[in-house]
Amino acid sequence: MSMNDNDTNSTHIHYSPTINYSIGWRHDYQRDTSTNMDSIQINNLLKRWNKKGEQANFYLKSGVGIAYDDGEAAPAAFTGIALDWETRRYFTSYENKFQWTDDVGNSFVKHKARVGIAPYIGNFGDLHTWLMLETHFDAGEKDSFGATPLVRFFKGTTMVEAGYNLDDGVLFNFVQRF
Amino acid sequence: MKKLLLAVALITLGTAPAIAEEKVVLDPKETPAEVVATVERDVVIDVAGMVCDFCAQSIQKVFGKQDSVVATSVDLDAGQVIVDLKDGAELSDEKIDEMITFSGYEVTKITR
Repeated sequence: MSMNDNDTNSTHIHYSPTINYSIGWRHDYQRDTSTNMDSIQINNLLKRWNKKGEQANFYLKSGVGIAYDDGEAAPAAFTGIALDWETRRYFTSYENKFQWTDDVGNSFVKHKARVGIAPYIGNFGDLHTWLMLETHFDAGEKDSFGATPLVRFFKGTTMVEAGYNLDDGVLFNFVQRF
Repeated sequence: MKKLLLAVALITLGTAPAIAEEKVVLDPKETPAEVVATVERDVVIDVAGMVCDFCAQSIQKVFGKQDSVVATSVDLDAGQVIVDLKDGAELSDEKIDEMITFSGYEVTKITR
């Protein structure tokens, strides 16, 4: 998957042997500090709630790796939780990320939340569309808040999200399942 | 009039074999749930939590690996997975429950 938001471009390729966890490689590029980071990321599904017509999930996402810029490199790590709840009509989620880097780039805490609604209900195999609003709060040096309206499309095993925010620019996410 | 009847008879005889040879072949992977349901409906599984098409893709993948399965359809409206089994093939409730759980969902009912 490729995620590009208000201050980071990232690529994450991971494999899920079971639904309970995935392991993979992640690359992040922090645009404001021109810092790169390569890490091994593990996602754990701590709890899933399956109900008739709804589902909720609780994840722990963590990684360790190396941050580097201008020839300098230093160890780095991150962790965070992610929660989501969805029906076929409504979606809401929250996630946070605590990232620590030693000397290279900035350590930070980020929070993101989303609400979404599907303008129509598609069945299996149809093109699905969601209208969403993502808010983010970056604590630390920037201490910034922003909101980005976006549209999510998915069909089959491909998902694309695109949004725009006057302050933060373009949001573009792409996920392909294999 | 005789010529006309002869012409009609010849045309009918000429096209009959072609019509008889036409077969409707359903691609199991492309066949919608409602069509599969009218052709053959071996096992219907009610599944809780199946709200997202993108996530439910794993169900077709998991069932598709089973030798006993001809086709699998997902009906998000009904919250059901419809599995078409090979003639004489068996797929136990325990195995179905295991596969649905492996895909991340919960079985609430199995109808055969």
